[in-house]
Amino acid sequence: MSVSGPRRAGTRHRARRTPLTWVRGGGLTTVLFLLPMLFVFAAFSWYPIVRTVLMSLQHTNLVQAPTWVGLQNFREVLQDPLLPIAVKNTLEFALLALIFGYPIPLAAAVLMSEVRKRGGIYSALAYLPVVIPPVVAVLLWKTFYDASSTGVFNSVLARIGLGPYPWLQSPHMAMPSLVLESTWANAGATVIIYLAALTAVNPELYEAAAVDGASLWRKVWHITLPQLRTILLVTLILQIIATAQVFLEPYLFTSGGPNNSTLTVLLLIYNYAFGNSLGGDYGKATALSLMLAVVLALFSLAYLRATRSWSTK
Amino acid sequence: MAAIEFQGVSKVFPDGTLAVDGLDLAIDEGEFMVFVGPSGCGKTTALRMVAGLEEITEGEILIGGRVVNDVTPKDRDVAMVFQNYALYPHMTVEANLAFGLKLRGIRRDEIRRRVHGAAETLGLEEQLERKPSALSGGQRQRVAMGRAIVREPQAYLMDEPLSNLDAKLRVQVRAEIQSLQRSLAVTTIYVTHDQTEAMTMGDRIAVMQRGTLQQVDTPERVYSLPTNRFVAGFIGSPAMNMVEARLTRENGVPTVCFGAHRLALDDELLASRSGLLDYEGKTVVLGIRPEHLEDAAFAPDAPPERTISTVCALRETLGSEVLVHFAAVEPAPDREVVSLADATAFVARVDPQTAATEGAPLRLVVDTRRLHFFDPATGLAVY
Amino acid sequence: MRRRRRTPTAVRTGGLVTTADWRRPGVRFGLGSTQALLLIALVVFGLGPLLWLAKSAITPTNDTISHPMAFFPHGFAWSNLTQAWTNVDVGRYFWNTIVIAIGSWLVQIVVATTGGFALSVLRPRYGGVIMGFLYVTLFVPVVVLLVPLYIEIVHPPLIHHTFIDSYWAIWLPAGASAFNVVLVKRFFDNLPREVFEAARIDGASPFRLFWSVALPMSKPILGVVSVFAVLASWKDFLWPLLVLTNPDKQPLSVRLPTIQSQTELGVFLAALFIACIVPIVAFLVFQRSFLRGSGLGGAIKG
Repeated sequence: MSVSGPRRAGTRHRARRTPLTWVRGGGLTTVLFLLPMLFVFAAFSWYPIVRTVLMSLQHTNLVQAPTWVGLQNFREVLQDPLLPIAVKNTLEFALLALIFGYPIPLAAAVLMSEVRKRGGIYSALAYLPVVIPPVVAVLLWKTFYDASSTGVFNSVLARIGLGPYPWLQSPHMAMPSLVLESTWANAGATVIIYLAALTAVNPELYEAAAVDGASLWRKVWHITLPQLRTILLVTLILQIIATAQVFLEPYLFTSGGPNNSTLTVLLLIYNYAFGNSLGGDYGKATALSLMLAVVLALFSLAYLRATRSWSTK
Repeated sequence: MAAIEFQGVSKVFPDGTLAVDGLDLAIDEGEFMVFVGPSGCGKTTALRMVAGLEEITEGEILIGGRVVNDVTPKDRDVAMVFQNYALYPHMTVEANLAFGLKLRGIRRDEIRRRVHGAAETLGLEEQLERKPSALSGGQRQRVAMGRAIVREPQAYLMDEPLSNLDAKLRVQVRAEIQSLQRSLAVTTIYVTHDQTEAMTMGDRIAVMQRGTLQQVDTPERVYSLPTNRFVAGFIGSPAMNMVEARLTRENGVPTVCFGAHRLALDDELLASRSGLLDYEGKTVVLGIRPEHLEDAAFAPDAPPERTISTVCALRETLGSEVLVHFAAVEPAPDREVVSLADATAFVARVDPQTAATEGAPLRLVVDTRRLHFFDPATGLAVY
Repeated sequence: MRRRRRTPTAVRTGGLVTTADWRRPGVRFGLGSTQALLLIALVVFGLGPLLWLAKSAITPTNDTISHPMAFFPHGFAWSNLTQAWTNVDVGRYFWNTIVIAIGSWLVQIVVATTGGFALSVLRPRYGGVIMGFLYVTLFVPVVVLLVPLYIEIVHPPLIHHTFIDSYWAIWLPAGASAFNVVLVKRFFDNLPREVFEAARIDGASPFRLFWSVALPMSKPILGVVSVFAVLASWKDFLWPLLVLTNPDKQPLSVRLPTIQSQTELGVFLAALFIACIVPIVAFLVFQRSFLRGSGLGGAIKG
C-alpha cells in the first residue's frame, strides 16, 4: 500500500527559457506564420497611420525631402472657406441618409421576418442593389437623373403630371438626389442585419405577450424594439460614420457641384491631394483626414458613453 | 514497452491553479494503470503532461527511463485516445488511422498492414472509406482507439474514452479495451471519474483528489484497505457509510458506539487494526460498507453485539438487490426530523428476499470484521 | 455521398404574428396586403433599376434617349453589347478586374489563414498585443490611410522603384484587412482543440497542422472571406483610380465613367450591364455565404 510521500529532493526541473528553447518550442515557426500578416499590416496599415500624423505636420512634395511646418496645415484648412461648406454638406447628407436609410429598412425587416413562405426572395431582392458595384449604381442613376424632359425619372413623373426636374443640376435638389441613390444602394445591407437580429429574438417572448393579450403593435413596441436596441444603436453609429465619409456619390455625380452644394469633407480631402486645381497639397489633405478621424472618434466615444445606459446588456 | 514514472511532478496553470501537486508514481511495463478521482482532481492534467500537451511546472516525467520534460509530443512515442475522439473530420477512417504513420515516414505497405490489422481487430473494415460524421459514437470511439493501436507506441494514454457512450455500449467496450490491452501488453494510463471502470479495468488504480495522489494500489487493496476517508468514500458504490463514533470498552470488550447502537469489535479486526488502541475513549469516524450490512432475518445466529436495531426509512428495490436506508443516529428527541438528511443516513445492501418495509422496524447484522476507522481530524485510516 | 441542398435563405417567422393572429381576417388582410405591397415595392425599386439597365443595354441609343420607358419600340440592339466588349474594350477592362480580384483574394486568404492560424492555434504569448494592434486598425477610418499609402506606392521607402501602375499596389494593401483575420481567428478558436492535440501527438509539425488539419476544416469561413474579398475588389474605385494611371490596366469601375464620354448611351449602358453580371451571378449562387456574413455573424444576438 503506497501513499504519496514527501517530494524527492534533487528532482526540481524548471524549464529555462532561452532563445534555443524558444526556437525548439516552435517560436520561430509561429513568427514565420505571422510574417505575411505582420508585413502587410506594417507596410499598408500601421506605417501609413503613423505617416498621416507626421505628414499633417509637414509640407511634402514628391521631389525634395519633406519640411516641418508645425500646425500650419491645420490652420490653412480651418481657414479655408470651403471647409464650412463641406462640413455643412456632409452633415446634410448624413442627416438625410439617416432619415431615409434608418427607419425604412427596419420596417421592411419587421415585415419580412413575418413572411411565411418564400422568405428568401425578399432577402435576395433587398440585398441585390448592395451587390452592384457602386460605380455602376451611380452612373446608372446619373442616367436616371437626366434633367431633360426625356430623362428616365422625368418621363416617368411626366406621366403623372410632375416635373421635369433639374435633379443634379439644381443646388437644392442635388444632395437629396445623391441621398436617394445612396439609400437605394445600401439599405439592403441594413435590412439583412436587422433581419438576422429579428430572427434571433426568442419567439417565446412573443408567445408570452400573446397570452397576456398584447396586440400586434404592442408586441412590436414592447418586445421587438427593446430586443433590437443594441443592434439599432450599433447600426446607427456605423451608418453615421459611413455617411460622414461619403466620397463616391459627390465625386461621380456632380464633382462637388453645382456651386459646391455637394462638396463633402472627403471630396475636399481628395481635392487637396489629387484635385486638378488645388492638388498636390498632401499636408492639408492629411491634416483634414486627421481632423475628421478625431472628430469621428470623439463622436463614437461620446455616443458609446451616452448609450451605455440605454443598451440592454 | 516502457515504464512511465512521475517524480515530484507539479503543474501550476497560468492563472495560479495548482492542478497537480508533487505527484510521485511509477508505472510498470505492460501495466494497466487507472487514474481515478472526482472532476478537478488533476488526473487528466497528469495524463496530458505525459503526452506533452501540458508543460510540467516542476518535477520530471520519465518514459522508458528517459526524461521527457522537454521532448515534444511527437517524439515521445505515446498514443492518446481522447474523450471526444478528436478524429479528423475531413479524412476517411483509413486516412485518420494512417495520418500519424504517414508523418513518421513509414512505408506505404507497412502503413496498409497496420491500418488493416487494426481495422480488423476493432471490426472497422466496413468503415474504412467513410468519414467520421457518418459513423456512430461507438464506431468513432473505435477509430480513436485504432489510431492509437496502429502507432505501436510505448504507451497508450486514454482520457475518459467511454464517457460519451451510452451505458450498455460502455460495458461492452470496457471489456473490449481490457482484452485488447491484455493481448497487446502495452503500458496504459487510463483516466476516468467512474470508480466502477477503475475497479474492473485496472491492474492498479491511483486515486487522486485536488491534485494529490491519495492512494495507489490494486483494486482489491484500495477497496479493503483505503488509506483515508476520501478513498474509502470514493471507491465502492453505494458509498461507504460513515458516522462519528466513540470507542469504549464494555465488559472488557472493545466496543464502538454511535447513536443508540453498539457494536463489539472482533478479535480478527483488532489484530489488523492495532492502531485503534490509541483511540480508546475517544471519538473516531466509523465506516461500514453497505454490503457489509445484512438483514438479520438471513443471519439468525448472529450475536446481539453484532446487530443493530433500527427503522427502515426508505427501501429501493433494484431486482438483484435491495437498498435499505435508515438513520444511524437519531436526532435528539426534541428536534423534529424533517427529512432523512437530518439524521446520519446509512444505506444497507441486503438480500433481495428481504421483508423490510418502509416505516417498519428492521434488524441488521454487521460484519464486524470489515469495519473501517478514520481519525476525525486528519481523515487517515486507522490500522 | 451527401447531396448539397440548395435552399434559398429562408426566413423563419419571428413569432411576432402567431398562427392565431393570421386566422383573424383583419390581420390576414392588413398584414398580408402590407407584405404584398412590400414585395411589390422591393421588385419595383430594388429590381426595377436593374431591369431597366438590362433592357436598355440591348435597346438602340435613340430609343433610350427619346423614350426611356418604352419597351423595344424598334427592336433590339444586341450590337450594344458586342460594341461595348470590343470597341470600347470593356472586355479588356473586365479581364483586368478579374485579375485584380484574384490577386487580392489570394493575398487576403494567405494573410488571414496564416495569421488567424498562428494567433488561434499556435497562440504565442504576444498574441494579445497583436490582436490589439489589429483592432485599432478596425476603428481607423480608411481616409486616414489614403494619402500616405499613395505616397508609399509612388515612392516606396527602401525600394527605388515605383509601384504606380503595378497590380501589386492593389493586391498587397488588400491583405491588410483586420476584419478577415479576426473572422478566421474566431473560426479557428471554435474548432475543437482536441483535433489539433491529436495531430500533435500523431507527430504533426505546425506546418502540417496548418495544411492538413486547419485548412481543410476551415472551408466554410474561407467561403465567406472569399466572397467578400472578390466582391470588395470588384466594387473598389478610388484606390485603383489613384494607383493605376495607365488606362490599359484599369479595372471596370475606374474606366466606366470615362467610357460614358467616349461612346453612345446604348453602348455605355451595355458596358454598365456587363460590369454587373459577375457580382449578380455570384450573389445568386452564393446567397447563403453573403447573407450569413452580412448578418454581422449573429454576433449581436439580443
